[in-house]
Amino acid sequence: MLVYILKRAGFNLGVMLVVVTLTFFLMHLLPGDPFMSQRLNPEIKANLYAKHGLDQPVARQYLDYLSALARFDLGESLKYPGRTVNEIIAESFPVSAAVGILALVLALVLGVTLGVLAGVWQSRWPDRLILAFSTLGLSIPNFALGAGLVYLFALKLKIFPVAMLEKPIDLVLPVLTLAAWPAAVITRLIRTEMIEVLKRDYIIAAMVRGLDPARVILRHALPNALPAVIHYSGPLAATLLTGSFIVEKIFALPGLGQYYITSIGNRDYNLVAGITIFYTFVLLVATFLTDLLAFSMNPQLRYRNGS
Amino acid sequence: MTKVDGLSISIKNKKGTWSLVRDVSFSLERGRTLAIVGESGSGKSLITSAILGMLNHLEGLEGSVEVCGRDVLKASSRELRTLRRNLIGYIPQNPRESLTPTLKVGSQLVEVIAAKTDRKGRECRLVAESLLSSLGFSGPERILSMYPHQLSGGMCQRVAIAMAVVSRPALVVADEPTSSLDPLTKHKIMEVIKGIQAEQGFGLILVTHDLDLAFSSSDQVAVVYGGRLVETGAAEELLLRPGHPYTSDLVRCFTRSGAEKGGSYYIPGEPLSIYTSFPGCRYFNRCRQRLEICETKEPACVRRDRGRVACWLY
Repeated sequence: MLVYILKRAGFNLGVMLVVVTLTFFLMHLLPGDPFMSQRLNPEIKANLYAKHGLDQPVARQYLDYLSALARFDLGESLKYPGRTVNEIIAESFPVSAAVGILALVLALVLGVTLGVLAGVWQSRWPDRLILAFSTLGLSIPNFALGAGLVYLFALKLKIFPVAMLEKPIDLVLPVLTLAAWPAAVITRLIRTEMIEVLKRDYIIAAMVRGLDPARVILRHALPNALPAVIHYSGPLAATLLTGSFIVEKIFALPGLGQYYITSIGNRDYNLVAGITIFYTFVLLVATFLTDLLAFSMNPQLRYRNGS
Repeated sequence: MTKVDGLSISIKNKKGTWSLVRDVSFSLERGRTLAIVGESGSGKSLITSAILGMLNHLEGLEGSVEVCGRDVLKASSRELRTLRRNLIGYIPQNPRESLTPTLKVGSQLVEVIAAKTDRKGRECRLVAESLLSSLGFSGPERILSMYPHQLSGGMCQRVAIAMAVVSRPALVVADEPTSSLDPLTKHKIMEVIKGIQAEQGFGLILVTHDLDLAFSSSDQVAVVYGGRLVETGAAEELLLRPGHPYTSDLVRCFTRSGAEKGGSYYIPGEPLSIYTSFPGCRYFNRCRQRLEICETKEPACVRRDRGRVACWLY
């Protein structure tokens, strides 16, 4: 097991390096520069370039960036003078992560429950109803859903606030908006898997042995239908945790997602690279954890790898 | 006592009605064994499923299956669960596939024992251990802590047998219990099943396409062709003096295969598809002794010796 974890860590380090390299060079290939929106005279611009090391050859900049990265220093933002990328992430990630974790949990609970119900009642009315809902969840874009929820629950019913993040209740609408799409995807995944698993010999045998249907579904079928969702939830967790630009814009949340998009427009090289690297890191950790989870749920894999 | 009377299974849809199993009747005393033999697609699996109550939701299900005087086909799902717990044991076709891969053997066996015998936790574990040792496992505790994939097919099948017989049922239905096992294991598993049958005295329905197995380990044999029981009778009688042309062809295939000169004997042609409606005997197109009437009218089931046969020759 330890060998597996070490191997995996080494591999992930390699992936990080590739991502850093690609991001760095692709970003520098973009036309324009960080200071193009301000009309600066050439001298000041040259000074700014020198300050941030942008006057050096790109290869040199790359090596400098790597050496700073090795010390977990993501550099200074070019757009927000005086603030480091580390500070920006440290400030905004908790907001995105709070919304993201809640959305992830909601999507999993809702998706698995509805998926199991739909799978068990395949082609009957509960299935059709759930499928209709999940189609809605898949097809309504989240900016429309977010706006709709705000209109209904904030403006008309006045149950939840329109925007901003001050009290925990402010999280409800953003979490709902963010969870709708993944919940719909998970519902469909689980439904398909359940339909397959329920046809398997061991489920039929368990029923013919006189076990309770609910027990057969939850104890014998569901664990065998889960791996697909577990594998899906790794990348999903990374995406949700690092924040959604649209949801953060609609609800004016000071999260990481909006920095990502604006930093690209601003050519804020350090911020773009920093957030990309951070996202990659979260993605690799989340994928690793979900793989471990899937591994621990499958006795066949567990024993083949001799743990 | 198990009594199947007039069992018919058909499916209906917009295009019409297809009759898959027609008028199957037989009875089986406790302690006796009935083999249901037939080729793939003959309907023997459907008959098995119906006896186990797996087709109760079908509209086109007729007749009755009585086990100890209780009709399986008319049982509600709750009654069916009680029947399956107390009276009917099931030995599945693919032993390894019949156990849930994510649960330990012990936990699955204990779960079935708890459902079938009203015992609790620790007690179930003890029952499981003694049951497994009576089925020839030398280290039951070790087996119980393993996952199905760590067991061989034969071991999984013995676990499945344990699950089937734990409540001392009146009837055990074994659906091709040995078809996925190697020849040595096959004999061992049959010995295990016959051993418990001798001890508990349940009636055994052995569904198989393996004639060797059918004739060697059963008292009665029922031959299925095209969804009908074309002949039933005592095993040795059918083997020595088969009545229906299909039975006699089968027996010739079985006794002459390989060993004799001139290669193996086979039955020409293909069985009629279930989607083909045909007024006569469904074996007509392959039969060597067919008469004119065979093409136009289906023969009724008549007595012959101690068995029954559905053929115009009698």
